[in-house]
Amino acid sequence: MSAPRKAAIVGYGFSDVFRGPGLDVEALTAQSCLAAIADAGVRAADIDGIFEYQIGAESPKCLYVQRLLGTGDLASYTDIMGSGASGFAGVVAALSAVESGACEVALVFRSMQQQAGNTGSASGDPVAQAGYSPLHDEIVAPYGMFGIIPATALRMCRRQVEYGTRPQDYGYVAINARRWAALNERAVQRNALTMEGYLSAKLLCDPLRLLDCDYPVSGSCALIITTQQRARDLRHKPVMVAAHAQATGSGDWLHGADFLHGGTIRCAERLWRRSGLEPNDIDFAQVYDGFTYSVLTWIEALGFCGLGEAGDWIEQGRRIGPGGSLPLNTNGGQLAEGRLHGLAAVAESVMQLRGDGGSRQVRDAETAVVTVSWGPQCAGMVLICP
Amino acid sequence: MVTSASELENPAPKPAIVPTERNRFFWEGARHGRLLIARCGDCGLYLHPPMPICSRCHSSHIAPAEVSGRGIVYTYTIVRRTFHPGFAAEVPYVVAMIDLVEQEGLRLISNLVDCPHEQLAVGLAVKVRYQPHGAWMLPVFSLSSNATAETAR
Repeated sequence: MSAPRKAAIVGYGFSDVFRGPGLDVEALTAQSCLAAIADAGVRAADIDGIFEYQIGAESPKCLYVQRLLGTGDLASYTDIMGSGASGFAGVVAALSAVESGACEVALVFRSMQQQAGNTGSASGDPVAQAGYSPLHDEIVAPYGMFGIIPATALRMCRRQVEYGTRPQDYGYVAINARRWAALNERAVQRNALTMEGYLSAKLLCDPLRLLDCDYPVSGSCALIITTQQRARDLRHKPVMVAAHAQATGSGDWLHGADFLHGGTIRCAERLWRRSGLEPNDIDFAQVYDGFTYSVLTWIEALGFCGLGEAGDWIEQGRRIGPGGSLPLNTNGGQLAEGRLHGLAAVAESVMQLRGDGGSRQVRDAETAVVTVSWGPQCAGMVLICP
Repeated sequence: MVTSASELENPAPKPAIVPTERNRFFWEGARHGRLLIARCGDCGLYLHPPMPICSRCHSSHIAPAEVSGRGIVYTYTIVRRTFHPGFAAEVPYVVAMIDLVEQEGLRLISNLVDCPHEQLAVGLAVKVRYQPHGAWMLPVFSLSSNATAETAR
């Protein structure tokens, strides 16, 4: 795929990120968008595209944010919901709009307000989702099958049989997140985790433990995307998007033949083909960690190792930790920084590629792969900043 | 989630079976002790969850077809967390994906009942049975007699 224009990520911003009481989701959105605008060095009036994804109706929409920021007329904008490419749906739409010429300066945000006590990505309310739920709640809820936590546990059980994955393999992913989070002041889970601590965490759905789930928070993250040409005149060294891709695989979270890897493999194939890069060229990775399971399977799908081999490949976390040969989820990921649904992984990549990583800076970082979500809602990017 | 004594005495209802135009036959069939799966009248493909056209040949001749109710456990999980108050008295219970013998990859989400947790395994042969659920019946699965014999050996 050769895009007519090249897109660059030129700014990122965060709101407060927290558990429990705090600012409402509209105020959080204002914080992250203003921070991204300031970081990029653009004016609100320069923004002529806004793109956002939300699962249901938990976040402000494009036109609200236009009014909030006082942007000019929008040449391109989209609210994306439901079965879109999850946290990156807005990013990919913005990139396509900038590359095609539909707009010049795009704002992307993802805002969420998570109630304390709601662990992981489960809604906890199947009735509210009935109808066109991607998890078929209307036919599976009477069985006590609620959302993505049991759906992931079912994969972990099957994976154990097909690939011999051990509980410790997931444990090293959870521990890795805390090691990086210790270096990230924004992270909400910064205390160290031991394997004993992981293994003694509460079982929610065998063999899935509480610490296999990402950590729900309230917060917002925003990005500014523009053309390579405009990016040259802005504050920071632009981070170029060498490729972006989506994939749905079989298109079904539960009943597809690609139950163990979903669309991750097809998404990765597109990323490498479009970017002209390969796993060996990558300096660090931010792969989606809604669950520790998603991390192992994305590592395999991206071709860093063979299918089923990620447990051994991460070398008890040495390879992916600080100082390892493939630093992975260097902000602590959603497991430890908090669940901002993919956008924080992009912001972290941009920070690293600019060389602004401080105590967690990956040395000589020039290339990154970033992925989001899983199953039939996969997306990813290859970023470069030579 | 903490469950209080009063909640156990007066349990919240489980999520109701609310038949839709698309899946009413599935629930009606269960009420009569039959496991019905949507099937393409032209190419024979089974479709679950049901859809209005065949995803292989695009025929709109979709009709319920009775299947044997025999299957194999593809995977399972023991649900320990109470995700819904209606299941507070049920945990831990087993959610399983059952591959029906009629077609490769024809997979049903269901419960595996009357099976000690230490006997749970991928690959077990199971057979459908029916359990009351409000005014309806729920197709669930238990070990088929063959599987029980194999486990005993």
